[in-house]
Amino acid sequence: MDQVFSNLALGFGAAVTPINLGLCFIGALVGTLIGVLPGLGPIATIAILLPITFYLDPLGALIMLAGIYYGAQYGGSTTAILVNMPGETSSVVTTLDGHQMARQGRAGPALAIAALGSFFAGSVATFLVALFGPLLAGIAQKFGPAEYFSLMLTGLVGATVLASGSVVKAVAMILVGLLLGSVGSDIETGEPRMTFGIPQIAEGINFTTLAVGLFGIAEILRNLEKHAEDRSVLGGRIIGLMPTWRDIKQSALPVLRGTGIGSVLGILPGNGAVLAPYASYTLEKKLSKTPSRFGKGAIEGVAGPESANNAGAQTSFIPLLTLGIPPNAVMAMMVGAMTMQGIIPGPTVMTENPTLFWGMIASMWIGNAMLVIINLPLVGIWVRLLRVPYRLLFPAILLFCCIGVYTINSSHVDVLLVALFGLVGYFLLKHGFEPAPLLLAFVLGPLLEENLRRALLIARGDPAIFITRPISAFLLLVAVGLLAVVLLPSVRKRREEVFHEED
Amino acid sequence: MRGRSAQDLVGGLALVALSVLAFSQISDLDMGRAARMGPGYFPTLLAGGVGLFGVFIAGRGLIVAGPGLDSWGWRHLLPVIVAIIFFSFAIRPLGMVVAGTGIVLIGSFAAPDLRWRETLLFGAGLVLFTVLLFKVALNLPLAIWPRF
Repeated sequence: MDQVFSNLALGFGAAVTPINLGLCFIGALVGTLIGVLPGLGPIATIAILLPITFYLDPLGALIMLAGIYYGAQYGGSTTAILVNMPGETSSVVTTLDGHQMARQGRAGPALAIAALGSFFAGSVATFLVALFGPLLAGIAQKFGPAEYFSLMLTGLVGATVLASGSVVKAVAMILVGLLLGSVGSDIETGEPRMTFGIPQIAEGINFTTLAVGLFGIAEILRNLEKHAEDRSVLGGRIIGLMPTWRDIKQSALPVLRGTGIGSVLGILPGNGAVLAPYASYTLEKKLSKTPSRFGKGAIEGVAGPESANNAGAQTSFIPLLTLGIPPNAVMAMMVGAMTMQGIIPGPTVMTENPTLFWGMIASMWIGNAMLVIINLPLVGIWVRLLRVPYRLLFPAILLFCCIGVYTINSSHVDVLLVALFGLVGYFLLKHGFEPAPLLLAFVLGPLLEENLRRALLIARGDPAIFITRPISAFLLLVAVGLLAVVLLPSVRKRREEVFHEED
Repeated sequence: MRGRSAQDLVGGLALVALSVLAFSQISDLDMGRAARMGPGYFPTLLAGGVGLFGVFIAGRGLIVAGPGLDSWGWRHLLPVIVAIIFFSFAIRPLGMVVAGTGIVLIGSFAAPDLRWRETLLFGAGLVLFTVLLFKVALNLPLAIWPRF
């Protein structure tokens, strides 16, 4: 425990410099901005900003990008409550009761509880990261290639189980992602693979290009299609932000439970920040003495899910920072950012670069505190922003996407590929395929192949190595268990129900 | 036609096509063996997997009922894609001002409720902002004006 606090002190020392505080603030601000605006998610935003972070020092870059991610969880709730439209996928359930509260003139308390609940959850989850990070990293240092291979495989299986939609299609997306990830020169022989003779992809497909195309451009195309949406921002000024004593009493337990659910689901592969609010909402409704109030402005329905999504966003950093394995697509973006800075994500980050590790964790807490200020007193600014019409917004996003991608390698082929992947992303949306597992697999692909090859080299080609080593065998067992569970008829039905509400 | 899903059928066939495309690219790579894999080993496994899942999804689309094909919104799609392609070819020879103005103007054709005066004003401000951000503040290697 003492160790944790001295580490945190080291982290705060690194994070509380004028530049890093400024970057943290920019990250949180940009995160809130994109969280408020529907149709621009954290994946696309981080992809657009990646080239800029190249010119920052590693800690500053990661502080800013992390701020965007958890900032988006705060901003998403503002739109959900005021416009009845989720600013982010993670705030879908907040629309149910949050917007009803706003209609009853209680928008202020709803916003306040969402922000304060998120702050509490963020603080607890940050502390969990500090507590469990070193433990997991210690275990991970005993990992050999076989364990790493099994761990990644389990992560990918988990990502399909917790993805929405068809499991078969999610597995197909993982295979496509791995295949795209193996484009480029072979790790051992340097031979070009599947490059179609195009010199610009001889080193592999650029990660940002793929992410901007699949998420940024495809998202624009989808939004343009459902243009008729009305963004009727609830009129009038928001009066009285302060929740009543009764509101606080009603929210306390849901916030606690939401934090717990979110923290656990965030660590698991798949998108914890998206899944956790559903789980929390369902639980609160079940536990409530008056479940009929839900959907009609119950404050528990805002407090629980909002805490859960923020806790999940925070703890999803644990697998990334300790094992080097991103649990979801946003964390895959962080891998991209770290690699660009020359840092290999994994257990060695903590031992070789402690200021980076602890500085980032400290910045999360600072960022969460800043977000309460950004979101509560300044809510009026965000409301006005919601009135910016999409017809002006999307050309701006388009321009930023293209300049961002172009500046990475000054390669016009990369920009052309953005158009191609945009079309691919649109095709995937139209055919019920989820792009998130694809992106995750794309990042893990080269690592998976390297560890598979090394493990089998050690074992002289005997695949039994994966089940004779205990940790590896355990991880594979978890993967099989996850697959078995999701294929059980009863779970399948339940899962479809949960994700059905999302549409 | 009962019990079919055109959405799955086409989606599955696309995966099969991708698998064939990948195989055509890796056929001349050395496979190696499990103990010492060559460059072709892992991609072959994956391309095979993608193909198998493609066949399965397409086959399921023939048998099990599901959603049909969604129509594509070409009216929005074309301007956005053309705008990106324009940008990619314009940015090096013509610089940020031309490429940026082009992408905003071409892309705006995709807007269902376009108002030209507003878009022109906003676009001018946007291009100015990107020049200030990327060129002046971040000093990225980008040309502002066309090179002659």
